[in-house]
Amino acid sequence: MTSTLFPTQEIGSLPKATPQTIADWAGRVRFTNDDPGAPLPERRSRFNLAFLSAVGLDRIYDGEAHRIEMSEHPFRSIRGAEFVGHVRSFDNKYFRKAAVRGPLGLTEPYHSAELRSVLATLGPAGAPRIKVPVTGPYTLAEWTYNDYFLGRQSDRYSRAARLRAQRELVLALAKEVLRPTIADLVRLGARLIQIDEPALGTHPDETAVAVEGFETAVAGLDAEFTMHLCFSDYPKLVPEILEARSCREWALEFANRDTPGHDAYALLSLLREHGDERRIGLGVLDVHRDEVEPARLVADRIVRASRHLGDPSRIRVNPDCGLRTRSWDVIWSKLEHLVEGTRQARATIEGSRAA
Amino acid sequence: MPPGSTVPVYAGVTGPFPRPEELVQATRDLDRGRIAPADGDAAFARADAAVAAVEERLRLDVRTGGYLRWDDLFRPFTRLWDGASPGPLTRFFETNTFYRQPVLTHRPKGGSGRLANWLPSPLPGARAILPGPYTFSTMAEVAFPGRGEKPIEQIAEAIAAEIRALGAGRPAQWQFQEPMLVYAPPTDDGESVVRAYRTIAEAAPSTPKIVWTYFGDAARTMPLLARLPVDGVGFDLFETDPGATEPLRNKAIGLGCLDARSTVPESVPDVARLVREVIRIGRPSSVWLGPSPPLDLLPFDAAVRKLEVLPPLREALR
Repeated sequence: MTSTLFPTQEIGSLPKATPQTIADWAGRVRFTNDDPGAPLPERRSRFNLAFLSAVGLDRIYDGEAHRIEMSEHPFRSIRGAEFVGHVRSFDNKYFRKAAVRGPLGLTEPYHSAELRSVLATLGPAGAPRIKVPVTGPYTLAEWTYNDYFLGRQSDRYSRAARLRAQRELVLALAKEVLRPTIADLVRLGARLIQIDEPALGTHPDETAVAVEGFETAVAGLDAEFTMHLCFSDYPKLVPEILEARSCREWALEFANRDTPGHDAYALLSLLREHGDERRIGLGVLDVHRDEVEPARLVADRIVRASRHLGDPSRIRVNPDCGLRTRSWDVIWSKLEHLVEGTRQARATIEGSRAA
Repeated sequence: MPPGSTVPVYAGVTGPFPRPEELVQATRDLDRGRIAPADGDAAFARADAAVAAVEERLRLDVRTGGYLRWDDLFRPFTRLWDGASPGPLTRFFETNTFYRQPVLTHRPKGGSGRLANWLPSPLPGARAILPGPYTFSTMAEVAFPGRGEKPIEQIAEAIAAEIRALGAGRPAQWQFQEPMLVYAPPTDDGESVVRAYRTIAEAAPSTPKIVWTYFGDAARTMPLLARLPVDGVGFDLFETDPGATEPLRNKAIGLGCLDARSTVPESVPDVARLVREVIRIGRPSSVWLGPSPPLDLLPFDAAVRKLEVLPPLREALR
């Protein structure tokens, strides 16, 4: 059941569970409807939903179990681009990277089948808990070879030409690819959609382009949209990022930079200074470290953030980013502490209100 | 280069090369137990030879071998150094690639001599490419008391120990990867970076050293880059205003002039025009042409096509 103060939520992808992982965890997470004959992505999706439900999160998705990764998966359904070969993701893991070679189009909305699967698993009562993550147009553009739009510039080596080409690609992706994909999610019943823009920190001077892409992709669609940013120098994105009028929540990473003597959550005062009153998806777990944050640290982070923001009711609690690079044991422990820490913070804030 | 100028111009690879598709498949097969380790080694050997053949065919002025066995910029060191280990998977800047964050549990100790196994053979013209101490210390998790010293200095000492331990097996040129110097420059006066490079320079006094930056505009860091006790500084030609290069006067300048954001090979006349502008303003002692971010952000075939731009570009500038 969704808590009224400090709802908790996941933020992104989980590791690809093996059949053995599923078997090992099934009892603990009450995963009772596994079908060993089903395709593995489908089994993973159901397992992830059980896992996230069992640990106690309010808003969930399926850990992106049906997706290959954030860029290759969408480009399998995009016309005007072609895969040009493998690029190493890490160690001996690779993804196929696409080059845009012509005008863009969509062969089919690429998240609809997985949403249908998630809806079927959770049932009608679970639908309001669903938050669908979607890679945003700026990040898709940034992780693609922009051959077509760059090639159309007369002075392609100037910074101005690269910015023009980038804008043209971002807007083409937003209009021709993202918008129909997201519109179909809305048609199927998605009410909470998270647009992921992890690449936005690459070029803060292109923030206005990213905002234009975001608005082109979602403006006027009947759902609540959040934007997830991580590992960025946030002050460099402000105030341009605040022009994303259709965004109702900023899902931000903080824990990664919250160290003794440095209160990362003080950054929230920046939003206050600019009079921005949107909700915050508050990152309280560092996804880059195996060390499990104690629940009291999670609680402390939430309480500090509440003070900086001045309004606890605007906070939702989540990990900094997707937990896919951590082991299942670590993920469980971290999320368990997230849930418990959130409960403690809720008690603190509600206690202080009562007093 | 202005007509009549005598600035020497060279070209070479500046970072890891992408793995050929055959090696991609072989390493996947290796991970899944579908081929034997010996078959994996053979695939690496063929890929090493393929990269060496490209560098040979293009008559590049330095040879790197492509660093195909390096899992990331820091991995050899987290394997070789007592006190260092490969930590959590972490996004590599804002690319769609990752590295294992080095975790330093106590002061790193280098100098075993085993780094030679990770470097190109010490043939004439071999360029050894190592992480720079600033980037290393900024991207590592340092989990030991500093005893009043900054981690960058301890890392520099460990790198220097590695260089000294190579003895006669030293390369012809050292290149230090320092994307962090332009991505997130020091907020202080940068003196610790200068000291770190002094430590490294003392370990290899007679070998040319170049610091290579990428993933950002080098203009704001240029005064610090100019103070480093190295022979040359590399930066992204397309990100950096040529007017910012004046502090580098009489140093070697490295120009990242192959853009990994696009698979389309660069136009030789257009890039030559930009390089001439840098030479006119910066008046360097020499110019080293190369990719800007490492070419491993491209697939193998696309990277080769990009690299093929360098020889005619070099000729156009000579």
